[in-house]
Amino acid sequence: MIGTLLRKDLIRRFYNPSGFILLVSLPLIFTFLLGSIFRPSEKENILPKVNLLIADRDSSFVSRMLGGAFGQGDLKKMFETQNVDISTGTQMIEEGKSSALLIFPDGFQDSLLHEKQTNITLIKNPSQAFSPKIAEEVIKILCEGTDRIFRIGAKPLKSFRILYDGHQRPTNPQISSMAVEINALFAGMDNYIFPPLIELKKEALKKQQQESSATQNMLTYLLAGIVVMFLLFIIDTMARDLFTESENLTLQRILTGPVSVKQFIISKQLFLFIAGLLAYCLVWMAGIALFRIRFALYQFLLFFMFSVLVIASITGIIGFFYTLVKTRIQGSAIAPVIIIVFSALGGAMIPLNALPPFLKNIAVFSPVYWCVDGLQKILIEQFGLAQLMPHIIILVSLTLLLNIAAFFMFARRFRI
Amino acid sequence: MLKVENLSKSFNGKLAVDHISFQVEKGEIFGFLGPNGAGKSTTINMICSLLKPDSGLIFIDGIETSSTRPQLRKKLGVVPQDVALYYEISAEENLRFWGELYGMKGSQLGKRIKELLLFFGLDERARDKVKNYSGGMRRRLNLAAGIIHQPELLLLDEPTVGIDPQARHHILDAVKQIAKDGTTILYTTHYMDEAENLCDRLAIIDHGRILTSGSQESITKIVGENRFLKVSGQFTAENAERLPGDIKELTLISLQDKEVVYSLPMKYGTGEFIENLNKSGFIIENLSIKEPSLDSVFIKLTGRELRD
Repeated sequence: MIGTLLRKDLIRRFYNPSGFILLVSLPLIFTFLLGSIFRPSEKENILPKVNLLIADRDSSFVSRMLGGAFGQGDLKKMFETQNVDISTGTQMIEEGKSSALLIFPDGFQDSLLHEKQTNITLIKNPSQAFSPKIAEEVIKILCEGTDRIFRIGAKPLKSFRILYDGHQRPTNPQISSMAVEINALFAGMDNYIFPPLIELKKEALKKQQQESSATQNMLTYLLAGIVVMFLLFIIDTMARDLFTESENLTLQRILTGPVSVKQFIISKQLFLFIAGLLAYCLVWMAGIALFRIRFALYQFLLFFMFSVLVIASITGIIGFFYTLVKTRIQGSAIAPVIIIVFSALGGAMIPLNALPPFLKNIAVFSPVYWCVDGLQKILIEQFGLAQLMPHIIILVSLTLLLNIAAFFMFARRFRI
Repeated sequence: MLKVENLSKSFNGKLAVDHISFQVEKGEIFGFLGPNGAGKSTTINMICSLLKPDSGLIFIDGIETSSTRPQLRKKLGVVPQDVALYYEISAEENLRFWGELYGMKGSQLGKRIKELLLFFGLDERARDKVKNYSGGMRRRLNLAAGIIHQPELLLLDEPTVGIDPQARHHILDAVKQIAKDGTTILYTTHYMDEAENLCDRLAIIDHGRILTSGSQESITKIVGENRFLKVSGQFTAENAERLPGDIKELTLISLQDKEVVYSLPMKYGTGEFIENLNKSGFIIENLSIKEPSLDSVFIKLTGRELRD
């Protein structure tokens, strides 16, 4: 009999699954949005790009190479460059349209090749605080780097300068001699350049992994809270069906048949649990796939067992709540308020660390806290069964107490 | 099949059903005729155990219902006044659910579902969601759900309320067929014609009390060979009371502010009656004449028409 009633409710709910799917997709969307806002790698992109104007009066290979460096690699993420003439550039700075203007003077490359001192000019926008400073620091590094290259490579550059100044085709011995000097230069630099480069690559990879792991942890942390909050909403929506059945008189009709009130209530409690379990599994399956959450087998079993307890206790919380309200409309008006308060206090909406101390102290009075905290401890801190005992004891107590109380109070309400 | 003894029920100190007793024999259609609020649905709800009586006993097939409810409920089919179905699933799924609830399963249930869908003309739209059905179709499905398990006793609580005449005829034909197949039916209605056309025996109920019961012939005999004349207009109570004195055998049935009801033997013409009214200073605004029928019985017993 209970099976027939339960099957009927599941068929009704999944005959048109769009509403259910929408409810289930919401926690994932929320987590994704929150994760996108707070993930560390994205934080870097929050800063606006530095708008740098380049006035290249030299138009030489070296000036173009230095100017072009802002459009390469990591600098490209930080800078947005635009080639202008000096007057346009100055005007744009005055109008506040740009952060800085970099000017390469005439004969810039010549001076470098002839080891003569030369200047590049940076005009900063005084109305901006950070962007011109960033441009200045980066350009200082570039200047220093260029200076080093031209000093270390003085010998091959000298050969190149002779060829450059000679205005005639170099002979084969001249080219060979220059190639040997360049090779000797790189051979001498080997010990300084290559080891750090290899090491740098390693570090970058490690950093990427750490970042990715931190992001995953954060998404998992957020998802654990958001799933619990949405589970409350999903089970709340399903629980209203009890009143709908009464309003549509199907409850009364069922009770004229060979079904007792108690059987009917048990079927409804089971329906809430199963619908909650389905929603919960769908969200986590999608979450695990989307956010690449990884489990060890023991951790997974513990997570599953604890999840069942979470769903059962939430079924009890919502079921008990509806024994206290008189109508569906009253329930649907009050329930979201209670869910939001419980969720906010329990760390489902906002991480507990972000709450003021007095709210942190009362968080333990929210049943949501024990659900969310337990899940986070399993998933992030890899807690074992023994460490989770306080959570388990509290959730088992809540499950038994609230479900049994809801059962008897509903049975009393619908008693004939 | 059904025996009700001294049944009563009150809500907030007001008697809704006042110590009623009646008996429905196996295979018959027993009508429960009365206006809205007469206590028909309360009686049905007590018979099908949705309400607990304050006093009295109900026997189904000789067994007192309060002690052995679950077993007895399988013998009972209930079709509530309002459509009580699941609108978000199909007619077929609805019938399957109600059948399974009464322990039916497998091919037996499948066959019965097909049979009923065909019988009620719903077979072509069996897989459509009930929310897309017309009012008449829902009513038919409501009735089908009540008889899916082939009950021995069927309680029909005003099954034709709020539907068009065509759908109503369809339901009345179905009820006759169900009775022919051997189901005992308790049929409540406030439509006189339904009671007249459908019921083998009936009880007239008003303000929670059974005013009279029996076969249609025996009930109509209450009014004898009299017609009922209801006059509304302007007159004095004194004039209204004095009027019967002028015509022999004219009986005053009820007198209200602007309305008076008389009973007049058929042998007298209504022209003479109207002439007398004018002579007595009546200003007639409306005059309605009821020939001997269940309606006139109701007027005789209560002083008002059933639809009032």
